[in-house]
Amino acid sequence: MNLQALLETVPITIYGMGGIFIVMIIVYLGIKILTRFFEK
Amino acid sequence: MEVIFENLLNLELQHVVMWVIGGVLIYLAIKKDMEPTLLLPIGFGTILVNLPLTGAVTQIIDGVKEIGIIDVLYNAGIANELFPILLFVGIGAMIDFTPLLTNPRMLFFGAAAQFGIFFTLSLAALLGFDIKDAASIAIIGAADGPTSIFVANYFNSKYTGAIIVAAYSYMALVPIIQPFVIRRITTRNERLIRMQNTGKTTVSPTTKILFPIIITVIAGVMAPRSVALVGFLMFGNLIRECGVLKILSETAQKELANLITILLGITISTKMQAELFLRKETILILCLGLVAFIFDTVGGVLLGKFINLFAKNKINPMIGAAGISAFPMSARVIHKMGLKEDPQNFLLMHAVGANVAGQIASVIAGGLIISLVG
Repeated sequence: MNLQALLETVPITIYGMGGIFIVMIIVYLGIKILTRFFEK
Repeated sequence: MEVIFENLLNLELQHVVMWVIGGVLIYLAIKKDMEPTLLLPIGFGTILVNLPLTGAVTQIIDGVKEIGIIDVLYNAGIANELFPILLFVGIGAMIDFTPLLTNPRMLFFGAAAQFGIFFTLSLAALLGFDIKDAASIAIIGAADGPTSIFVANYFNSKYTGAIIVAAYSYMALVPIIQPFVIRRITTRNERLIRMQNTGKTTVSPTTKILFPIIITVIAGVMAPRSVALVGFLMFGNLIRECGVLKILSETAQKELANLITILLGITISTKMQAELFLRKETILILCLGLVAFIFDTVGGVLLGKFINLFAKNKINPMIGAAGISAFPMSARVIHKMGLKEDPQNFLLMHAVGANVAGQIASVIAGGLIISLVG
């Protein structure tokens, strides 16, 4: 068991999951804008 | 006569074990219909590369290096990431993002269902894997074969063979893994929740055309390492949606994807050589892959439960599980589970929305893992 290695992955997990959600929020806003401007 | 049989003396037990493993993969592909397009070529390739002194892989015989065709293919198509990237063009051309564009909230389930990747990364590191190998193993949780190949190859992982077999095997086992996990973390009342339709079933062609371009720009700016994956996925989708490249779209979906798939499976089997595959870590990697899929599912479902704490219009938390990238299998599984609980509860469109969001999220996760670890 390598507890030190586990601790090293904590920031990767935080930045990784945070990063995915941030990208998704921006994509969400992008889709909202797109569908508003180009409704049909 | 002696010349014909002398190679038999080079046969070792580990070769026979790998033939059996190859045979099992072929059996699962044919009899159980488990990802046959990949597992069958990998299974055959496993036998091919584990023949004693096989000419299919590079060997040094009598001091002379003889280049094997599988290694030629590997260097030409996987070592430089060409095959997985080209396959993404075909996948992009196959995906209709309309269910996501009409209900973009589903994007967040795609994000949450990547949790298994990061959980597995920590677990693999705890178990003593080097951080780059841990990241390569964790990406099994992307539930996306080409992304797994791309990342494992990027990190030059010595466990690529086991990782690819685990990734494709668990993708095929989604109809078993996900219902098992979902039933344990949801109540019957939650599974019975009927979701309101957005009222929209279509979006304008302009939206569909601009979407892949905008995604590429956003992913490129936010996670530049993911842009090769996202870019080619979206390029394929642009070909599909632009309306003027129907023949190219069909070619990408069929001929290109099929050709690459044939070569990808047989080529990846170079990593199935006995000395690379028959290690105690392989069993561990297969277990970690399962953990990744379980915690992907948990992540998606828990986000659905969390949203329900505040939302007026409740979400069926099973939808969250469809946020993994195994498309369209996961969406179908969730739809069937919904129908089983309530024959009038049609979750398919929501599940497909979450599922295509998972496609995007998984490649972004792959890019982020490369950026953060590499």
